[in-house]
Amino acid sequence: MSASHPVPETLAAYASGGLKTGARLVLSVHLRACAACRKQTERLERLGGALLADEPPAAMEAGALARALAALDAAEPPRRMGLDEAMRQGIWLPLGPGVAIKRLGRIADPGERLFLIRAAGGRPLPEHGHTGPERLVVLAGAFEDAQGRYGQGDLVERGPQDRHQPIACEGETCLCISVTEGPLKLSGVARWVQPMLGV
Amino acid sequence: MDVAFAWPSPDRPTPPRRAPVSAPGPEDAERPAAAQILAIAERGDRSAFTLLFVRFAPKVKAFLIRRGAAAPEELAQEVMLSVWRKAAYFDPARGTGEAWIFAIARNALIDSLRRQRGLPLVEMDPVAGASEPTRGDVELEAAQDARRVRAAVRALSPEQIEVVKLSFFDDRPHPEIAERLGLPLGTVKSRLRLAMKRLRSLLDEVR
Repeated sequence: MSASHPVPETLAAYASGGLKTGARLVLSVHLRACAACRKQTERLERLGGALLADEPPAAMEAGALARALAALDAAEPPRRMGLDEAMRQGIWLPLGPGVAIKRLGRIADPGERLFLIRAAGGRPLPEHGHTGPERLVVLAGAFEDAQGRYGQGDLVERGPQDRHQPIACEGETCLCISVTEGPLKLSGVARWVQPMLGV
Repeated sequence: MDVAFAWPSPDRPTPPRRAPVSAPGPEDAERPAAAQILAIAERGDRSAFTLLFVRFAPKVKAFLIRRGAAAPEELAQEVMLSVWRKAAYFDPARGTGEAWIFAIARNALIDSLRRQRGLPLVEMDPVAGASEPTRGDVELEAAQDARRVRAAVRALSPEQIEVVKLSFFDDRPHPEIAERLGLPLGTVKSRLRLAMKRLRSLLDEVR
């Protein structure tokens, strides 16, 4: 796997339900675009299914089946926010010419920080380090940093010690979703906005 | 001032058409789930749902208990209702019926945590609803897959199954597994790596 795919541990955590919601969202954008990672995920889900099938049962309460059968026709699916709707939440905050960021607060789980980042072609994405691991996926456009070029659907995982300076590729606005588990460490001119964003 | 963007189109190939096959023969209690899920999808088959419920609700409940769910009984009910509602989205070309139920249970677990915190539920499957309805001609194949995957897991040593279960099924971090089993961390990691490697080659044969 190259640098634009999640590591196997991340796919396993996704498949087993061990990822928080913001990270799941970031992964799901990548999985839409990447057949190879989807195949890996499906393989892990088959493992989950086999373990489930072998799981010693925990008896349901008396009348459980009758209750379920009675509920079948009435069952209303719970309302769910799709990714498009999720991305309309929040307010864009400009961080410089052609660059803006917004926090998707109610989409992320507690402890997570989920951001949409937007940079016009040729503009740097906000430079940042982070106190926890970061996962970032490209929704539109492309950016490059010292490690390479990342286009739509590419996913980057970085450790807390990595500092990187991604720049949106010329010609197209780059839109990314980023999730971190610790507070971001923005540097330079972007710092002032940190308390305001609660990052 | 949101930026418009186009989704990468899901490049999942449509399942190949296969010659129709007769239904699976006489089955024991381990009959794979795919046939019943497809029966629900095709004709709202309540007896198929009953079979699934009797077999899987207690297993789903056990899984939810392992994961520390707050109300495993109610949540297991919800999972089974989701199975009924979403049956049309089950695609045997993507995985076994058991894997599909597992994914629903896993998502229900995440939903319940968000509900407890008053957070909105978020769509979690990358290609949910993107599949064409499938017909019964892939049913037998799905059933065979389910058997082979189970056989692959059962072919592991008990020690390997134990670490796979704790790590993947229970979602426990490696240090905690090491402590619980009284093993060095390195042993847990290498055991897990070997087990996954073995499973990988076995599961690859499925598709």
